[in-house]
Amino acid sequence: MRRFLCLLIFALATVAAPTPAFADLHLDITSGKVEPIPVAIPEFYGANGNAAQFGRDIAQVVSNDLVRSGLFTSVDPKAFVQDADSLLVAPKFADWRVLNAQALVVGKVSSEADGRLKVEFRLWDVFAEQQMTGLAYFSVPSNWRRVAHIVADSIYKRITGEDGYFDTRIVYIAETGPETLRIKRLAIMDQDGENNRILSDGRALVLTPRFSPAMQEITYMAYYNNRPRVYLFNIDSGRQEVLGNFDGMTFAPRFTPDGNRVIFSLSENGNSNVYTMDLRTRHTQQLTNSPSINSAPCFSPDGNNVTFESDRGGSQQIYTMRANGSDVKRISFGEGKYGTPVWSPRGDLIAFTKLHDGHFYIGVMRPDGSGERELVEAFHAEGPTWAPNGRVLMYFKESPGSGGKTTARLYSVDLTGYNEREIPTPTDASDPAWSPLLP
Amino acid sequence: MTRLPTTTVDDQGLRKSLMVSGTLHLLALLFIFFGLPSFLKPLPAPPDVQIPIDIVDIADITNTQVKREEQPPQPPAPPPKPEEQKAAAPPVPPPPVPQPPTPPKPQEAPQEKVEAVLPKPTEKPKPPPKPVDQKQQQEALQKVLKNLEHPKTPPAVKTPDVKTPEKTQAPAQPVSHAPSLSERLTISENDAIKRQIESHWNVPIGARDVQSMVVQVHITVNADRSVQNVEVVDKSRMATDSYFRAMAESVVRAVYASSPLELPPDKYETWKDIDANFSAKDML
Repeated sequence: MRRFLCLLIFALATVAAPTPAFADLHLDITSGKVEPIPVAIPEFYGANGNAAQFGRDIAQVVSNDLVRSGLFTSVDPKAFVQDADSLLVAPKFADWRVLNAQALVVGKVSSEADGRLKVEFRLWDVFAEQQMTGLAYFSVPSNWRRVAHIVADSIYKRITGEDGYFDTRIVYIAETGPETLRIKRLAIMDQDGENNRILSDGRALVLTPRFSPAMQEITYMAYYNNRPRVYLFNIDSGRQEVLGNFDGMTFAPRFTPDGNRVIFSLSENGNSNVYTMDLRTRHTQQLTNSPSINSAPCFSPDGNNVTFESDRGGSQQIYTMRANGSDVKRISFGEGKYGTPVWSPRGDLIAFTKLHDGHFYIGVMRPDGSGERELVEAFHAEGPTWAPNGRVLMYFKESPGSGGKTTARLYSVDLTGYNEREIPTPTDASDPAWSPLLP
Repeated sequence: MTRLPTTTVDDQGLRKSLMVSGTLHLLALLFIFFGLPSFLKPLPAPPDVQIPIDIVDIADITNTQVKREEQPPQPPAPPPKPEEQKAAAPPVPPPPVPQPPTPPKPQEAPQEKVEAVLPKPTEKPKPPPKPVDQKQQQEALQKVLKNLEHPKTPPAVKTPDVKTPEKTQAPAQPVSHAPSLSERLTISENDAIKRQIESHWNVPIGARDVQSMVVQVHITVNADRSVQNVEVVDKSRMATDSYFRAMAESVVRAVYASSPLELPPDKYETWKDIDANFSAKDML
């Protein structure tokens, strides 16, 4: 019996032994190139003249958004092979492969019976010959820019995996006038520089505006009646209110990630400490209590930690602490002075301004202080703000011009350090703040 | 009155100690004289070591095995040439290799010439077939040329046409042997295909956690080296992780964009299925 079993097992083993399979060739690819992805965006099709004009404009805005992000290039429309009519039916992928386009956007604009605009598009993967995404949006015709930004966001998100940031607004300080009599006004615009609007009248100096993540509200510091105070401003209603009546100076305000509290600095007796105030109950809580200057606080996106600048160690450096003020840790250890820390909405980086050896730098580091990288170097660059997807930084640079006049402009840079671009503003601009994605 | 104990000088003991001491001293002196280096004389020059150097092509070394004379026209030579020479080999010794190997195949001229190429892998394990040396290759070439001049004789090979994609061809015979060492890719061939794919891969370098992401794909390649299919192994992660999907799609695009791949055409069995791991390790 035993012998029989052994024989059986042996026989099974030989039979079940795998036939000599072909050894699959094994490759390990560990590097590649970093180049913008070529995308072809023909004009969106419109049945009548009006819709066709919208189609042209929307395609132009989408193309500009994607190209300005630095991750895409646009294939020259003059080189397109396939004509618009056959494109509506189905794309001929061979025609687009010839142009080296890796993705293709085919869109259509039509007017609905009730006057609304319908914008639909399909995103095609040219090499795999498959549709990647297809969406349709309805809106009033005057809102076409926002629809174009939303389309660009969907394309960006589908191809890169990151949330888009094109349907956002920037609030900044518009500066006019000579050096000695600078007028600083609050202004708001789309992230591509369009739809510029001035919000304050310039009577009082306005500084460091910040967006609320939840509502259409801005918080900033203003010198009304020569008293520096933190104010709240509702964009839709235009109503402004002061944030509490403190004896000392309040400044550097920011919202918490849930939008319910404001964190700011209060200066008294020569020290500045970090406080939070609940917007509903107006109850304040002191987070730092040290005989030093603690300022520019910023919450992490999960609301558990706060980063701020402090000179308690002798020089201005960046610290992190828990949201209740405990466990204070210094994270910047390089040479120079560090300030204005801003926690990325993605949670993986903190952007900051650094002053070393007479040069200003905008840099990023991980929340534990490692991986410090300087992205931009300038005569004077300050005030980084993150796009809502944590991928792009905006800041302002002042450069000395002729006749002792300095110009201040807004710039954006990708977090890899590439693709630095100037944001077009009608006047000089400083202190930008990026809104979250519009609801 | 007691006598004080007197010490007697032991002559023998003293002599013995003296002799031992003297010997040891002598030994020490000798050691110092002969053992220590002389600081006055210059050091002897180190002996010249002759190292014989042999310049060898890397392919011959990395592809170790019996070097058969028919191997030389392989990888270093551009692809069309080995095609011609390889395909020329079958007509040269007609008897050992039956030209249309499988009866079910229709006996058309185009099919024939395709199969003239395919049975190559089965040829190799056969002991000779006459190591094709230079002279025979020349003769074979002549025969090819002559054949082309006389279209009546079935053109055994019309080598450039072999390249046309013949997707419907089934393998001539059920080939059931693992690729021998000589059929495996050499290091330089491996590097060539790696470099080609790397030059087409656009890495999403700013994505979150890109330093730890690895994308595994399975690539099937046609005989004419064009990419037939690219499949991502971890499909469930594609559906949940948008960063992973973006990187996987960039990998798929890169492989399709690299088609046709730079692979040695005569090692088809080796590279018709490729497993590739993509990561951005060397870039960060």
